[in-house]
Amino acid sequence: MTSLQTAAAEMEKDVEFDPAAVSIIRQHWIDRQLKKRELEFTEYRTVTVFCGTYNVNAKIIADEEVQRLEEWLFPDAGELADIFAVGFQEVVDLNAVNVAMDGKSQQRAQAWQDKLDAVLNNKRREERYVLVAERHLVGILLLVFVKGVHSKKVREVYGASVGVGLMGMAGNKGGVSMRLKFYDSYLCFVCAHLAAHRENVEGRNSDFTNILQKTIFVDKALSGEADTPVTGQGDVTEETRKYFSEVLDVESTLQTGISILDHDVVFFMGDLNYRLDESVDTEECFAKLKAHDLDFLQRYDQLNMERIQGRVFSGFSESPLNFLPTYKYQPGTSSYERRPEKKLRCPAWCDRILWRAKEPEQVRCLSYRRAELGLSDHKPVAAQLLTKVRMVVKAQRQEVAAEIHRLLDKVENDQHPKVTLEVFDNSTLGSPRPLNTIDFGLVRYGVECRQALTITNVSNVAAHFRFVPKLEEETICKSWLSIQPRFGMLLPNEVGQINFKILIDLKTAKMLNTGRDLLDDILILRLENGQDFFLSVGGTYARSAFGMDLEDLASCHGPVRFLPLTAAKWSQFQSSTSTADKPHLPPTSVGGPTLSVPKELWRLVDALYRRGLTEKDLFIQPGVLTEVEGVREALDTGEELEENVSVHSLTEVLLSFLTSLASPVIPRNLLPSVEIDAQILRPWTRRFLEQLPPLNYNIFVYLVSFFREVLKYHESNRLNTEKLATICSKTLLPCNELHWGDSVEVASGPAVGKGEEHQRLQSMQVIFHYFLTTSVF
Amino acid sequence: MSSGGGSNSNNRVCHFKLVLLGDTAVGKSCLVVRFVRDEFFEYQEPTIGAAFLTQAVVLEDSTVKFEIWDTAGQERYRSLAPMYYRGASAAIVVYDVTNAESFKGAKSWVKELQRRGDPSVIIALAGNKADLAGTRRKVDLKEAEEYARENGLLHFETSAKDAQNVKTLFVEIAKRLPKAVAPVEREAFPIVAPKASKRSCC
Ligand SMILES: Nc1nc2c(ncn2[C@@H]2O[C@H](COP(=O)(O)OP(=O)(O)OP(=O)(O)O)[C@@H](O)[C@H]2O)c(=O)[nH]1
Ligand SMILES: [Mg+2]
Repeated sequence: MTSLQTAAAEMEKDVEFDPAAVSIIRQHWIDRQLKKRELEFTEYRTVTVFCGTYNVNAKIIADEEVQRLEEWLFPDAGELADIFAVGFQEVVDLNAVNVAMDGKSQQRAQAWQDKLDAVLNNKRREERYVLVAERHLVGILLLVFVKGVHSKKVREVYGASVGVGLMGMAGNKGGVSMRLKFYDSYLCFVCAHLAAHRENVEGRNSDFTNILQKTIFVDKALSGEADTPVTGQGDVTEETRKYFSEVLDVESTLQTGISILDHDVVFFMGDLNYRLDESVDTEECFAKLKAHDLDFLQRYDQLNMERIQGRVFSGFSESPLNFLPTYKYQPGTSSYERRPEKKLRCPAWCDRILWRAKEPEQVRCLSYRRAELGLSDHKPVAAQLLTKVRMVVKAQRQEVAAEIHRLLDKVENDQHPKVTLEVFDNSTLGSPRPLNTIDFGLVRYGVECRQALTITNVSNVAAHFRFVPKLEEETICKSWLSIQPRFGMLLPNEVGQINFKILIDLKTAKMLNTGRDLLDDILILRLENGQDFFLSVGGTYARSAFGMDLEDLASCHGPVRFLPLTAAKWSQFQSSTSTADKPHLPPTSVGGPTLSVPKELWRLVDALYRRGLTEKDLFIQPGVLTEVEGVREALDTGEELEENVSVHSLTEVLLSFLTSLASPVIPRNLLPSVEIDAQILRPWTRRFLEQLPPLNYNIFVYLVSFFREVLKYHESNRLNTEKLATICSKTLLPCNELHWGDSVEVASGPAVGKGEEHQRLQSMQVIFHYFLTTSVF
Repeated sequence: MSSGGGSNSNNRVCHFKLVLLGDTAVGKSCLVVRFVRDEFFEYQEPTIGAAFLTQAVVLEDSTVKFEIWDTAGQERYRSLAPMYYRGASAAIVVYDVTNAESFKGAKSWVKELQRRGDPSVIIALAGNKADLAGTRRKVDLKEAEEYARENGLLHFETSAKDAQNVKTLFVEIAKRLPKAVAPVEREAFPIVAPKASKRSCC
């Protein structure tokens, strides 16, 4: 393929109409409608979320002391949280080995998990808690537990860890996060340990930003398997899928990733490491602490200052710091670290808990305080946050969804085009007929019949209609029918016309005469995106001598028209007729009920014999169409031939009658297989006559005798032997190409067969010539 | 993205073709009109062709959108029916409880579907005009139920006139159709038992 072709192919693809895209967009619309009406099917439930953060300074609490954790974990007596999100920092020493290998962390994480589990599930209390998940990165650990009663309401749990320490990526600093769906709200918990050192405010700010940016929840299992598109939209191409990836389904969202701020509520806890502003002197700080002037100190808290400046934690909330700074303590005591051998540090609120809710009123802080555990150089901090979570009431949601779909269905169904059909009808004026029937009435051989139907678009969308074939059929109708047009489009209120034409040709006539076909068909008119109409098309075939079998014709004494059309009835009819009372009949052959030649042939030849022998250009000039049809009709119904009908119309009917016969007067097997020369001509023609079946013999002799009579008047009718031999060839021999329409153009010579066939026709020409010029019978 | 993903995943719309079959005048079109527009016409014209409508059924965890083909029941058009039941995921075969002949007809429609329809097609048998059953019943309920059971069909006696069981009929079919479900919705997150936790970091 050339690049041009490729480009063309691409373009073609671009403009291709994609039903999958429509249905995805539609799905998206439904989702948005539902979202808009969310309040109608959403109930809120307030749960208590405990968030705790504790920098343990690589210490671990002894088993016999774990009960002391209760002070931290249950800060408000009697209030048992529904969710416990507990964050630790420095569960291991942040030395180079631990940072690089992260080996000891697993063990420590497990130890803390076990200890928390023991406290939370203390037998003294009835409530039981189950771990949702644990996640750690070097010294940072996050554990999330939920009350047992909620365990079935926790879904779609994913974790993520981001290191922002050494080189901007090591795990000595960073954040560990967990997200989950709780009832129908999405919650995200982050436990972070940000950059240290009093002067490094910017480092902390940028650590925070990095954690937000780099934390992406991805489902590894899902991102691994690109198959099983769950769309319900049928076949979705890869391009379409890509284009709509963000709305297509949950997996694709989880494949590309969800960020922290995508959640309904974010709980952010940790050793955020913000200190007091450097303008506050350490001694001054201690003095203020002694005076319990926390308001003053809060104003100089770096995090508070940075947040007011909008440089970090934007959109987050925090309760007032109504507890003493949590850092830095002399481990195991409740005294700030002021030992002379240690570096003097200004106390600070390093350990913090903030939240961010999409709807601010969703979260209310119940308590924010510290515990007095002496394990580490930090004190643990706890916040109890009353959080409203969404609960979808499925039955109500279903009702709303049903309403949305009803609306959509109504619009869609109203978009279906609608048309009315009316049949033009002259023949049965005044008698209304079903609109789905096109009745042609009596249909005659070789006479074109027309009917029409009007189709009116009564909808307000464009209507595309077309006739379609029936299942496993290739054509939209039987061969005797033609439809014009077969398809079309109508604008609203536009009226169109569909024309139907029946023409019974020789092939159909033969089928109809033998009951192998009926003038009856059902058409399927399809209105795209609307409905199908069934149209019954039919008529009564006016049986005609044309296209009949010689034997049948000869045994039929009455007019052919009144013969029944099915094979079974036909034989009954035959036996019940007699020649006696019928006019215009040729003589009956000896001993049988069969006529010696078909009466139709006899009537035509008889008329020509009486009126036409001297007609100029006899057999050469064509007849008049209406007269031809009249003569045919008279032959079929047994009525008198009109006396003033032109001789040429009679000859035309005669020739077309002969060529219409179901089997030719001269059977195929009697054609010469050898070249006929003067020597064998005489014996050959004798045998030929002997071999002709009796009825065919009668007809042949009858016709040749008539032609010889015609030749006697050649001076006035201008015929000659040559021309008549050609006429014989055209009408008496088996020849598929011929039909009633062109039988008069005899001047052009016999139809040309190929090779051997041609040879035979040549020979027959010689033989006809012989019969026309020699008196053999 | 609104809520961290997936909040609407249980409203996924699945499309299914459904065809109505049955002898003429049993009430196929009336059932569809009742279901789609919640209307009823005493003088419903015979269907000469096949009418197409769409209608959704919202289930608890998915939505089934039916593409409904209401076919012509007149004997003359019988040979055209395969065109419409071909590829259908569901079929409602309707008979008239006041017309024994139509029940025979329904059986032959069922047989044809079983032989020539989609092998997994879900068939529901609906005995319509149940509002007339009190006085003019000609098809025994037990017999129809028995027949439905033997052939693994859903069975309801319905009335397009007084709406009885019409919605149920479609809802029950919808429930039985196979639907793709988002994996995250399949079950609650398996919560780790504290002792057995083997979740490693990464
Ligand atoms: N009493 C009663 N009459 C009904 C009910 N359903 C349909 N009918 C009547 O039955 C007649 C035929 O109903 P249709 O819905 O046209 O029947 P159909 O099966 O669609 O018939 P075709 O289109 O010819 O296949 C209508 O005149 C209705 O009034 C019903 O539940 N109760
Ligand atoms: Mg109908």
